[in-house]
Amino acid sequence: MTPTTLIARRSLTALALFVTSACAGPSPNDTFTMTAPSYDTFRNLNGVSVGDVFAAHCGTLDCHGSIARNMRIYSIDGLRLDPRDVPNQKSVASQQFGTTEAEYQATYESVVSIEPERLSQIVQANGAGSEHWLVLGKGRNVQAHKGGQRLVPGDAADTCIVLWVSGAPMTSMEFQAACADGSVVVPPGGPW
Amino acid sequence: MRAAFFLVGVLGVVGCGDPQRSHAIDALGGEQPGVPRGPLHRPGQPCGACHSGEGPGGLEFSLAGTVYQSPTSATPLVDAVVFFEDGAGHQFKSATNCAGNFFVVPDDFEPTWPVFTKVLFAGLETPMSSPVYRANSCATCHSNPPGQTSVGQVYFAPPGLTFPPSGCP
Repeated sequence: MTPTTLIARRSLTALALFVTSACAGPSPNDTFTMTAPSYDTFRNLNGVSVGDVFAAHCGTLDCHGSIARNMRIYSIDGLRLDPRDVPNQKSVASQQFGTTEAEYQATYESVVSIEPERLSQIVQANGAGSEHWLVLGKGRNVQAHKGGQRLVPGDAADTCIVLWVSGAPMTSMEFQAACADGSVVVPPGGPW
Repeated sequence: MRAAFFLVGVLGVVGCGDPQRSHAIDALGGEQPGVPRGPLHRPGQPCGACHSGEGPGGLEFSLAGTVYQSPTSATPLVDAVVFFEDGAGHQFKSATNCAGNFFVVPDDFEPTWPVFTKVLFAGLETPMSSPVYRANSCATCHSNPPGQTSVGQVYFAPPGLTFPPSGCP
């Protein structure tokens, strides 16, 4: 065997070892425990739900109020969770008008399922780095988003979502005001 | 060999279509008997399926749809004004024809999303409760029957109101 052949063989062996180890999956004992932002705060029974903010800015039937999206927003004005229900009509089950508790829960689960590892880091860091979460990145159109810019940093809707993932308490006036203001989308010239 | 290259070329060209759009167009079915292609055809269907600039509809629409008198009526609302205000504050008006159809072409108004809209008729107005974020056809979200993913047809008033006689001659 010539030296060149020997080098080639050893290189191939090293490459094979590298590729094999690089392709190895995580250990079966590895676990990921998610630190999700609070559902209680998302639901915000003392004020306007963060879910209503998502519904107003993202959840129309032509956008994320669709089963074709990974991030699905359920609401009275958009996609309904119960197949018997119709947008803008009372829930068949509860006979109540409005987004149902099950829809808020489903929206919450859908939203926190987007980049859960990164979201966990953000929640653990009290909101630091929230701009890197896909939901905010796309909403702000910093990351490619077919729906364009739907959130502007510092506006009410954006602030409501940032404060939610930052762990703001429901007693926070800033959080309450941002979610209330962020749940309504009006024409640029003002409400009709 | 030449034939093989020709075949690959043909397949390549044919394969460039959007299958999702093709299926959506196929699902619309044929023309209604007695209604020629044109501004009165296919009321209630998603206009943008064919009129989004990629054919087969010859005219591109930036916004289009059909307005009915009530949520359960098949009678179109004729001569109504459909008012739009886009995210940049630009406003535009269109009107429904005898089929209840209206359409806007990009040369006249190409909105900045979202678009807020309302229907005006007989001195009254009915605003849409939420803005439109990207669909250029009303029927994308307003198809019949109403269901989990559709709010039902665009209408002006609840059932029970009396309207002037309408329809196409």
